[in-house]
Amino acid sequence: MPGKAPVYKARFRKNSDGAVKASYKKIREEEAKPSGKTAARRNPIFDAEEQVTKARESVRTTAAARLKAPKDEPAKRTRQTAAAKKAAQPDGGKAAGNRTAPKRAAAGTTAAKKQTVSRENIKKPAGKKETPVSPVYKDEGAKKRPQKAPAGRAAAKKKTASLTRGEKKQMAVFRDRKRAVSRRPGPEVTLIALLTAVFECLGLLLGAANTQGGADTQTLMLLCGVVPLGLATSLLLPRVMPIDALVMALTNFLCGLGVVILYTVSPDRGVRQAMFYGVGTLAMIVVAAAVPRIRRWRGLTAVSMLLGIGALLLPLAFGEWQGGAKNWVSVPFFGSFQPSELVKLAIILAIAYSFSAHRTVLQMMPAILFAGACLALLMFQRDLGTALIYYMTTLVLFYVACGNVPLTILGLGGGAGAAVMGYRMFAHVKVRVAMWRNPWSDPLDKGYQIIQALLAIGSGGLFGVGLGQGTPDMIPAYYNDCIFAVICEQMGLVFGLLVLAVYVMLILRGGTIIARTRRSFDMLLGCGVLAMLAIQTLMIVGGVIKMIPLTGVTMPFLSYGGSSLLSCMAMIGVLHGISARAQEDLEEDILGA
Amino acid sequence: MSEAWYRVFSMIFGYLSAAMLAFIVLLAGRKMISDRNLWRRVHKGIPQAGSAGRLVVLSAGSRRLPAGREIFVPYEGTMGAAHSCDVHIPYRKVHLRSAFFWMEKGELHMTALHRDGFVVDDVPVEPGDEAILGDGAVLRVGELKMVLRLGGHTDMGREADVGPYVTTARRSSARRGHGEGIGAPGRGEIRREQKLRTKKKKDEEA
Repeated sequence: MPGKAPVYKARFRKNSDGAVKASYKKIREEEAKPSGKTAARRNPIFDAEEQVTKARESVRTTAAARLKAPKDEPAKRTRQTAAAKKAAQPDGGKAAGNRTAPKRAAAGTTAAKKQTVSRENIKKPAGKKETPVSPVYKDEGAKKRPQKAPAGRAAAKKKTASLTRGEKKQMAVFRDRKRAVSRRPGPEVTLIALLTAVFECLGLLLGAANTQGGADTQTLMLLCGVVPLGLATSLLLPRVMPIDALVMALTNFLCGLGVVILYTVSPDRGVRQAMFYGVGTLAMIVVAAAVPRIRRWRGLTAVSMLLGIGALLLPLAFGEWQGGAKNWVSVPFFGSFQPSELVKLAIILAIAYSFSAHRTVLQMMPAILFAGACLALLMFQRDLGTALIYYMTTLVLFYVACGNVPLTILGLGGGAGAAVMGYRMFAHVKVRVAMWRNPWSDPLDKGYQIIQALLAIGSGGLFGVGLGQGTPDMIPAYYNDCIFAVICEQMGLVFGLLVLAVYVMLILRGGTIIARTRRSFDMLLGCGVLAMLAIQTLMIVGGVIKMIPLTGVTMPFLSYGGSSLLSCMAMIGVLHGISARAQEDLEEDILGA
Repeated sequence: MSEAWYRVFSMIFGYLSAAMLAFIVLLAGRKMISDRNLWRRVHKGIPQAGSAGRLVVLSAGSRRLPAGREIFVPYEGTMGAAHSCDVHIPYRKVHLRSAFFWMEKGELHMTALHRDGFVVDDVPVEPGDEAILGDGAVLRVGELKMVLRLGGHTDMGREADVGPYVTTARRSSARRGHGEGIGAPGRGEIRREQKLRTKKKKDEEA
């Protein structure tokens, strides 16, 4: 509204009946501004509604038009906007010049009046066709007419420079929402994927030079398999499926590192690990696609519980003793696998479903009994490392689900009691604890592994002895339990700590994902996955550096082993599925907002 | 490749890979921070459980609540000046937990918990009253005036078919202070309100 506008001051008084009555006193007149705040101050109740509605509509229309209009059609949009403005003016746009009267002129500001210059006053360049002036350049007015529409970032800057504060804010909101629902991996993830690819290429070539004296067909096949797989899953898969790109990139880095290290120290194992990596990726994609689609988990939970118990019974019936535990099953034409690795998913699913659907301890009892049965079977198999992982995960999920501190402490106490019982019952547990306390008491037999692991970490120094150098084969189970010691020896302590930082980043990112979920089942499922990965990593790293007794568990994504990699990748798939569901919810909200 | 050259290359690779990994960790941290900020910015205007509509501030005497501000209204929750309320109204006359509301058959049902002077289309809402607000209902407290817009952004311009109305208290027994519903008033709260009402009635009669 152009011209002077009165400014009122509101006074509130209480009547005799207690009702509040407002009166308004005219205090001064000032230039009308289109700002919502000023409009509200001018007349706090009666004038604001109309002006705010108008301002909001204009902001919304302009911002939506700018976002929707294709980049290569600025002139067309300009003509339409200007024509519409002209038509909207009461005198057909004659008074305010041809068509470049900015909004501020309509609002009656002095600055805007100065900018209102008739285009008839400007000399046209001879021989050139008239270029329509876009309202986005209205700050320059008609004095400076662009010869051609500037492209790229400069154009965007000029456009935003001419917008009002409200329009800029609205544009920023639209931009943020577009970014939030975008499936592009982003520059950081792209860089991580490229760095991972470079690392894998250089590492595999160097490993080939160490073992075979140069790159051979096997190395080339590995290069053609592992590197594109990592790049495709980090950069292309997030565009196809709503998975978390950062989790994928970090997982790919860890898997790639495992393949490179294993290929350097034992080429056959490296090649097999690459195959497991491919199979694991496939499993991850299947799980990530299935989790957001499954709407009824009850039947699946019951089936997985039955299958889990059955799978844990297999080693007791057909298993072989390996390293003091009977947890491996051999399958003809397939090899051997560790059922306890695959049951990890079943236990997370059962506990998450039961704890999210039920609220009392009695209602949660089937899942607790299932976890107890799994622990008992693992105790019979003497696989105490995996039993500890299951137990800690169950306890973490119990605390997260119900927040019952006394019962959690009771559970911890029960675990401590079971540990003491295991220590007294099993001879190999006694040996492991004794070797943890003083490995030098039997340096050539029982304490050999831990001593060699410590020596390897020490001999690596800060930056390592070099890839393929050192004596990793001196450490028993160097490709499996003690892979962290091999990494520290070859690549150095700094690299080892950075690998742990990658794990921390992965867990933190997982925490962000589960914080965004809206269903308690999703949250508990993600929490179980993260707890399991974190506890497993902590246990094996702590065991290798002699912080806790060494237990025979694998380092997630790095250690050699198909069962372990498959279960870890499936768990990452669960995390992706949860992320996809959270993203779906966000998209719905943004569309509805 | 000779042994010496291999050693040199492997040492270089060690340094290079440590630098690359440090860069990867930094990039991951940067991505997480930028994502967190983006998420916060996006979620400033979006409630966690989806929005049933929005309250558009038409006029206000508070600089924290300028005209034109949109406050998203979820399907169920509490309304008040406290940050913990689902609908946070930073205005001095609004009580910390002023009302609770829920969507029912396409209308917003609101029960005032305090006498902070809510007026729905010029009808005052007393504590215990259940105001039924349709699309376009105007809510007023002191200088603060807000219009309720139900539905998605496409319904913004739609006029309300039926005007909003306020009924007297008709809370069912399920909501009578047994903890059902988010922000349901406690027994003491209801008793106090009843006492006040009785006293007021007696005064009027006298």
